[in-house]
Amino acid sequence: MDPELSFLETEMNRGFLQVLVLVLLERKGYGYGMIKHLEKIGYAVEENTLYPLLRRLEKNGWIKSEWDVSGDRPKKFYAVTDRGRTVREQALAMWAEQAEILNTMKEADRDA
Amino acid sequence: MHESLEKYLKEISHYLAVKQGADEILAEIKSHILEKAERESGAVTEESLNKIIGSYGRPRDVAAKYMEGQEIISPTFKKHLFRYTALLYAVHFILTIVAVYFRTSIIAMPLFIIPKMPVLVALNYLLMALIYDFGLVALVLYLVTQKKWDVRLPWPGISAGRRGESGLARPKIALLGVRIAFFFLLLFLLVKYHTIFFYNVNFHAPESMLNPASSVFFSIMLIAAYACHTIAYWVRFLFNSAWVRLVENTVILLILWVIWNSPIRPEYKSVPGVDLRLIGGLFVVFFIILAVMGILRSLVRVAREMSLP
Repeated sequence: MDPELSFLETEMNRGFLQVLVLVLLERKGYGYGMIKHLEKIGYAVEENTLYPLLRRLEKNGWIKSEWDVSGDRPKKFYAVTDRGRTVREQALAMWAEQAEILNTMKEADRDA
Repeated sequence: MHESLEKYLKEISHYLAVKQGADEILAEIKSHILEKAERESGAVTEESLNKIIGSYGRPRDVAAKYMEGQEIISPTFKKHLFRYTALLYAVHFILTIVAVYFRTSIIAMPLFIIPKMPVLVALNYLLMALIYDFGLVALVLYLVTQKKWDVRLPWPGISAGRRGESGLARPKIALLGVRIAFFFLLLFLLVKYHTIFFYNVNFHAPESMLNPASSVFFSIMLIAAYACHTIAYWVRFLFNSAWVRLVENTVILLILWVIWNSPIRPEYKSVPGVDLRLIGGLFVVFFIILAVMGILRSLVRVAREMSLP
């Protein structure tokens, strides 16, 4: 891929992945499980991108975590908080607004 | 106990500079790698672990992802870092020259501690001073960044940059020609008359202002300084950088230093009503000031070059 396009993709993914995680964590999940789930729906994310992101979201208070030590090995489960839900709704509204602006511009270009 | 995994985690921990939760981060990475190895290779073996570790990323890169947005010094202070260092070093440089010349020490805590020292030690000291000044400025900018102090750092409006990125004008071929011609003229005079310090303009019977030994020595030194200036001008056609001017002025200053401290004492021609000794001394001091000013300007321009992306 063109390095400039790759950089753009990384920049776009940065915000997108945050919203995606907030949507995904409406149901409790842990890192490896989330990566596999996202893979199934066609979105590949690297583990060394996801885990630091989860940490940042938790630091913001948008998600919370707890260790489950009942299985063979301990796993850290995450879930969205009320604050995270509010942020998610605001982010989705922003996203819809941006998409509308793009569509309006595209239509204007087509008509011109 | 999985040796490669423990080693990998230890490496990440080496680079991981987070205030809290480092153990938790490492535990999560460990849990992830073990689960991935088991699910994708059927069993946790050294071989399967090595494969997963290889794809997880270099320990330094993994740790860096957890520290995004935690710059040691804000990128907005990059130009301040270099220009402040240059200004501080310029003052340090001048004070060092003063201290060496007057054979004294200058102490202004915590900025300068310049001991009494000979010239050779001073050259070494100036290198150490540069590192110290850089560290001191970095420390201040580090504190401003980390404490998130809302201060507007002053930005000295020095005129570097008006004529290009570093402020250096483009060299001109005609001026290079003039410089080379003048250099050869000086060389010709030295070879033919053994001096460039003429008392009269009668080339059939020229008289030097100085005694023969010092006349030859000082002529050679001044021609060397001029040669340095001419060579630097020529180099700027290939590499028009403030570094060239900095090296040029530093070498010229060293030559002037040698002249000033030369064991060959000049004997001036006796002229009624004119103190040639004073004029000669002022002549050298004038060029020393020019060289020091040149170094200061070059330092500011070098700082500007280094702070440009």
